[in-house]
Amino acid sequence: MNSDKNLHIAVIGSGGAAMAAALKAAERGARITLIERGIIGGTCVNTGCVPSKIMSRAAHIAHLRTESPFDGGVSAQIPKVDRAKLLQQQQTRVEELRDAKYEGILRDQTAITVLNGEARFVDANNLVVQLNEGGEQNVHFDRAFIGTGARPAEPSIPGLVQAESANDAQAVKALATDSSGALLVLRDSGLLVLDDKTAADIPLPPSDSGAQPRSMAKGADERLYLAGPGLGIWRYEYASERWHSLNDTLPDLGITAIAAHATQPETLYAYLGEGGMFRSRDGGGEWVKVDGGPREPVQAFLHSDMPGSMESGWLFAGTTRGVARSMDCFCFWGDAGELRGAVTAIDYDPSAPENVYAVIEGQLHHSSDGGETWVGLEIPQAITALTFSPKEGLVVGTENGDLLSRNASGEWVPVHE
Amino acid sequence: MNKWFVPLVLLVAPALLMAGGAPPNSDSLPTEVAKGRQIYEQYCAACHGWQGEGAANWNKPDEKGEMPPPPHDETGHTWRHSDAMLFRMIAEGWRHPFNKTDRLAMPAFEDTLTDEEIQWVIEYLRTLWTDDQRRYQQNESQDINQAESPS
Repeated sequence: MNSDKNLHIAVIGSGGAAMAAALKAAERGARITLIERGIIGGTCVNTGCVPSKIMSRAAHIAHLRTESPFDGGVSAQIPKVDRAKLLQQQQTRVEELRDAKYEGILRDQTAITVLNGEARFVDANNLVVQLNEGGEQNVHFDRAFIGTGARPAEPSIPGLVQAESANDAQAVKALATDSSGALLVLRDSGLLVLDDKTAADIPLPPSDSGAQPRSMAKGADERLYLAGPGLGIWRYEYASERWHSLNDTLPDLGITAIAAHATQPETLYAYLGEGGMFRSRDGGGEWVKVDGGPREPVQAFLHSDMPGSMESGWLFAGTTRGVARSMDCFCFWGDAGELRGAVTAIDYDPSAPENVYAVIEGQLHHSSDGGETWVGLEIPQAITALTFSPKEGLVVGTENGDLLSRNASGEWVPVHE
Repeated sequence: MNKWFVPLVLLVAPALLMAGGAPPNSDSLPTEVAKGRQIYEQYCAACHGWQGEGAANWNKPDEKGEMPPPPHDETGHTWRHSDAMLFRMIAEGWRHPFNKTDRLAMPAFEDTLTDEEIQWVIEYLRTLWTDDQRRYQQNESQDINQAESPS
């Protein structure tokens, strides 16, 4: 087709669709600039079928050596698996196939120029490539082809967020409230603000795919903090609807639990796995290690203004052994009572601070004396998160994704129904 | 008690101690430290130990359900507290809120010791800590002073 002659086509992406488009255009006489920000090639060769099938084939052979229908005639043995060598073999094959199916072909195509970098459209005939090696390059094109793959998205339909969806079956990972008393509900699917009339999503802060948001805290000034392994600690500004990273002075992002001081808006606490306890007194600008923390790792964290502390309050840490308690001077961590088990959530009643609640293996436990003694509370579902709401009092999130609070007669009933 | 008295004294004394690093020996003890040590040995050592080592098993309640006297040396947590707080505990005494008894397990010394004498005791306690602990405690004291200062 003559109209394709001398056309300059920008192709963004280098997977199956982008390669097919680029090769077809070259075959018809066009000049092509192909832009790839990551590794050349598609999902199948690089991260999909090829590497996974190599591993499943190796696993199958390992299984047949251990056990097969011919064990009577062919002796069976348990093979020694060297995972590092298998990975090396897998990677070698991936690189061979990438060269055979993509890189080699592109090298031979004089009509195709490859740019390694990220493309951004400027207008209908120009884009700018932020080159991986540094700098920018402008690309003028007659036509452009976007072949960058796809990912699922929720359509923007009013009311969808309130509809019954698969999200509702996801366990509640953390709960908090905002300044108006609306509930903030963290699930794997994201963060939801929920009051008796409306529900809205808060997009999570930008992070690597391995980040696990799991701990929320409300500051004394009602600000929201979110943390988790791989994510570090972020503060949400309701007015600008933006997240601010508080990670500049943390040694790494492996935060498993955070707490906000009950009365001092700028004081925050964070538990950093083996790194111990960190405290910031300027709202997360500067973090200082203050203590090693309890002997066992901390999974849930709470600051309380219960009276009786030498300083300004108390810290409760839910560990893999039970609840540890210290005054907020970090004097020493002692057992809060005899409650034993891995604590996954902890909170207290700000209007009656001696009342502390802790979750162990889905069971809710209550102490009315600051953690000295505990009793189990009957509840119809396994609990995964806790918070205190000014409207509903104690609100629990369950592994089925439900939110429950107690009605006037003490029965657990769904929130906002 | 005049709370503004406390930071004023501290401006001078820590500087003397920080300069040397390790606690000075008895021949060259600054006067306040020597006096503080004398008072400590007279009023505090019977419970908190002659070297500030505290009671055995100090971090668990004893048979009466009281938290035993903690150490004041580097193994304890005295260095976690600001000067103002240490002053208050010595002057007003202290009962751990989870003690099973109602008495002040740590007695109040405000009728026995002058403000100055209490301050000397704190100066002596400071010599029982590591350099890092002294720095931490100095920061705590500054933070508390800043928090309590009128803006």
